[in-house]
Amino acid sequence: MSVSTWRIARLPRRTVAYLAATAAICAISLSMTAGLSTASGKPGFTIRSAVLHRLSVMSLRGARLSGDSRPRWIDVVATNRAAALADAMHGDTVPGAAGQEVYLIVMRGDFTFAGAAPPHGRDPKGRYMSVTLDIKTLQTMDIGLSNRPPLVPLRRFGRVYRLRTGK
Amino acid sequence: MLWAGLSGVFAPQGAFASCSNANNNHCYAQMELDGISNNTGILNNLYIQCLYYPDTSAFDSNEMWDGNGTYWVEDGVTSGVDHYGNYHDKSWFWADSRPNGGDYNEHYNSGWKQAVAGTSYLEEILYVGNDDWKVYGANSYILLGTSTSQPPMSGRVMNAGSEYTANSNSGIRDIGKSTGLEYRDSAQNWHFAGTGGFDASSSNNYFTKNYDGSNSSFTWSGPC
Repeated sequence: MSVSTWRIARLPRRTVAYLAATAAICAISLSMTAGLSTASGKPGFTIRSAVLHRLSVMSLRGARLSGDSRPRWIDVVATNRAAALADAMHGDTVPGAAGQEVYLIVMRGDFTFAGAAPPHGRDPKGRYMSVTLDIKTLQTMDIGLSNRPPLVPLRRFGRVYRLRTGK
Repeated sequence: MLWAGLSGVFAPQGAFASCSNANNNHCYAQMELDGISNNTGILNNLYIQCLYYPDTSAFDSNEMWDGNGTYWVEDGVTSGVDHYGNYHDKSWFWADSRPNGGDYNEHYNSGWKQAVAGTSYLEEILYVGNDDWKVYGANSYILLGTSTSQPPMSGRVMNAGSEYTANSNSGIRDIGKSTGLEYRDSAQNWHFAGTGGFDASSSNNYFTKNYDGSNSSFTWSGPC
């Protein structure tokens, strides 16, 4: 038994557990800060290249089916759904959204949601299309179309990735 | 309700009833009540006997709308593929179009259990003040979300029924019923659509339909 181990061994169990937990949290925090995580994308985390590729394919499909197959740009950031709704979709609320992690994709183009209106209604048009996808399943959570950009820059939520636009 | 609506482009012509060449390839089998001024809510019992669409580029939804054609809130159940390639199987959703730059937004949630065929669901959209509209539905009548910055306005219309973007030979399955469609006025009194309601289906739809003003019910019957 080394001296240092012996000293730890003499500490109360509760204190040892606390020190171990603190060390683990510090290690995780350091890896997050250094951007070393390749997790699928919690807020502020790195988004893996394979995920970025899939998001790019999905975004281009969405753009094409919304009338602009070559949007000017497509950005994505990992954040929570409540923030995405408040920022990019200008205020609608959904219960539990604060605890839901999503990829928020925003693209700039000339989009029309053909047939999205009720009977006799006008089709929505807009320059900014936003979508949130569940971070684990990539299921669609929200789709928005507006002439206004997000209220705050996406970089407020973490690292922003520019996706391939097809141009 | 957003989504592809491409089926009309690829559909064979002639032999089958078509949704193409009208309403952006969307068909509507639905009832309507016009000229509702400053209503503060609508509710409806949605019965889904069957609702299915294959995993291709189209969709079929059973829902209700409250709005004026430019700004509205809608609430219902949908099957099919969305613009981002994700399939929805009788998924609850709601959507709105809001003035002052709020524009169009559509919402889903993995926590809302899928609707079950052979079941009747109460769905409701209620004005709660401060330009907020609460949207209720899903399997246990839960709050689905809040449409914000949506002031009450005159000249509103309420609709209920089915919207679909697929031809009769596409594999679509859809039979349903809306019962007891009513609206709440500005004094918070409720009124059934009654004899003022009518079948306002689009001319391109191929479902069998019937509106019964005596109980404000609308039935639609497509392939199943």
